[in-house]
Amino acid sequence: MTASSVGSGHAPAVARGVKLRRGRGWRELEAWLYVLPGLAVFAVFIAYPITANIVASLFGPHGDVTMANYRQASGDAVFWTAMRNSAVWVVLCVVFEAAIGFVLALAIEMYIPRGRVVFRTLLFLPMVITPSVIALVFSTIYAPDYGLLFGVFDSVGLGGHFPAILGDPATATYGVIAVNVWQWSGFFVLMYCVGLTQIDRELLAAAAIDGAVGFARVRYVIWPLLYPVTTSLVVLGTIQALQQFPLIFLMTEGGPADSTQTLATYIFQTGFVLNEMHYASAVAVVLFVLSLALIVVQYRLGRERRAHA
Amino acid sequence: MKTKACLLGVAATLLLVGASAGAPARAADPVVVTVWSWSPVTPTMNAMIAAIQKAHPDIQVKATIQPHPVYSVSLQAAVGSGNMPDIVGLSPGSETQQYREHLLNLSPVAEELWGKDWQKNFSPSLLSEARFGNPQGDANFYALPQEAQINNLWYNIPAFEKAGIAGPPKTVDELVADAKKLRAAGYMPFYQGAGTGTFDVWAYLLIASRIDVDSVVAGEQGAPIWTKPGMIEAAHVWQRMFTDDVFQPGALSALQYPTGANLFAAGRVGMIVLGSWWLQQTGLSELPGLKTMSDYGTFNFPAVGDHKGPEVFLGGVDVGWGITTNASSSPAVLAASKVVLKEFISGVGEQEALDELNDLPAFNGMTPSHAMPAHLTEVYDTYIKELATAHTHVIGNPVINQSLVSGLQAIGAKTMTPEAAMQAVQDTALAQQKAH
Repeated sequence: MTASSVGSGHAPAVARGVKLRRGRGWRELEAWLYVLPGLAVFAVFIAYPITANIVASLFGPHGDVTMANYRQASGDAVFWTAMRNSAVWVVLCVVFEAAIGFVLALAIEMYIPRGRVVFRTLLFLPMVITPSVIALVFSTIYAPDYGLLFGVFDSVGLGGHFPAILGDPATATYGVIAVNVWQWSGFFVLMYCVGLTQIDRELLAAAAIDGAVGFARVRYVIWPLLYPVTTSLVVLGTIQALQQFPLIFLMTEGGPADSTQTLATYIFQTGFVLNEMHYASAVAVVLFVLSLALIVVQYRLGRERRAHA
Repeated sequence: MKTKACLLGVAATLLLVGASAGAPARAADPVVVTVWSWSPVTPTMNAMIAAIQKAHPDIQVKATIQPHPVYSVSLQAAVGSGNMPDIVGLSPGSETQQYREHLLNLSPVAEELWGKDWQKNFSPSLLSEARFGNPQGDANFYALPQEAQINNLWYNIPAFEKAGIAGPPKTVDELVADAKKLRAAGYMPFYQGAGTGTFDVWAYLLIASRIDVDSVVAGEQGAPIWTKPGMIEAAHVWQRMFTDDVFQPGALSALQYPTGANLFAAGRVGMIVLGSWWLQQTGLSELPGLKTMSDYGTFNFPAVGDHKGPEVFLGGVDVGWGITTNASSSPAVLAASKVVLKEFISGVGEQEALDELNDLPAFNGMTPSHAMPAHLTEVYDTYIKELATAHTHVIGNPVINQSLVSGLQAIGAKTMTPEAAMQAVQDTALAQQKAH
């Protein structure tokens, strides 16, 4: 390599290689710099709390490292009630919200020629109301003796048969789930509406020519095309159902007799009411693992279904 | 040009320095004392702060009042982040014990504020409750009571008159009969927010104390007494409140606050478990019957069966105050916090709270400074007399407390018999005794 050959712009291969590697290195560094803030937020607000929680769950009340919290959970009847209720919440919320969301979205997009925006907005409105207000209003609606529903029953002579929905361990959970479904169905409607507007109309026309009309069109054409939307909604719905706290706490405080406890409310009760933070951490770890497992399963099932579609 | 600008800058700086040097010195900023609590209610706290700041212009009090569940979470978070306020409101028992390592020992502070004999200013039961849950051998005070309360039953006088009932029931059978009359007259006979655990426990303890108050007191301190005959009998009486339609339908889904309190204030309820703090409605409501309490009266839970012993009163600390170790990081803040504590408990702050009838004073000798209507005075004086001999109303161990709540709700829901429910509470008490 001579000075003149370097100065003339025809840099030898070695020099060019060094310059290229430096360029790529800088670009990589630049990319990391852009990603770093997000990673920092993830580390501080997600990774660290999860790790700290797992560590806390492995400590007993006297500072000893132990699996006692998990053993306590395995023998705790209220914990298993909370697990069962969490599963019920996931299944019922996701199924009903998806069904109601899909049917209403279909009706809006396919059969309502005008005013779709109005319908979408009205159905989405419950989502923007504060959960505490919803809880208070529906507690009053459900109230025997003076609630709105009781008034309806009473007006047809059935006042004496009106059930105490939130006061009966057999019905309380379903009463709160119904409120949650009412609140969240609008979100599912909106997402399905977006999915439906993205379906190529020519495809539907072609399907109609081939004889796929009415329910057959929905079952064999529209529903399969909405698998990605459904998968995402099922995941979001699962997370929301597992996380639900304000409605349950404000409507029933987990009662009567712990019958409406879910993992989320039980974590609050054990941590902040019973001051058993380590045990609460263990329950929180169980909730975390359960949520992760459900989401992984749902994504895998969704992926397989798309592959076979 | 540059030189001119520099010279101008220097001149301006010199002028500013000279002006500030010649200006009179600013008054020292007031010392800020932060206070967190769930009680008293915000209007009362604002009045207390205004009075304290008027008496001590060198102190500024910044208070945050939140609903108790939110307050519990906020305080836990503050401990974790090292940002505890200077003064915290505390319930006796588990709440005080939970934060004990972050609180100053108030025994020397109390001596400093009220002298060596400071304990004679509080009733022994309140001081005993303030130390509830202290480890063996620890006689320190980590919180001192500002206000006390008595738990009992309130009744709507016009509702009773309309239902043809002469006065509060004296026996459980009379209570059941009166409930029928009130229902026939169109009222909710006895509103129980059975979805609110605290009021379930209070109702049960009121019943049980009419039968076996010694066991009640022992159980509150953690002794496994829940399957004693008196406690089982009390559970059966509790069950009767549901099966004999004394409580309103759907009681298990009802909340004492805000629904029960609102319905009672609206005159739709015959009887309800509340306490001395209900007197604060005189300042919060414009309804004549509430402003003077002329439409409302109090009574203790009626006698149960053959247990005809003297009335027993349940009550204790409503809110206590602790000074946190955070306050001691600054001598000025610590000194100001002690002043605020004194004013909260025995000074202008407590006087404001008393004048609003927020609750009963824990400090002996304090009374509302304004005249009250005769009926209100009678109720208030009765409460003060009862406070002197009241037994505590708090179950010190939150795990046992929660077990009792679940058991009582299960009895009401008929998913457990009284015997099974009390056995479950007993098992919890035994397990807690073993664990500690």
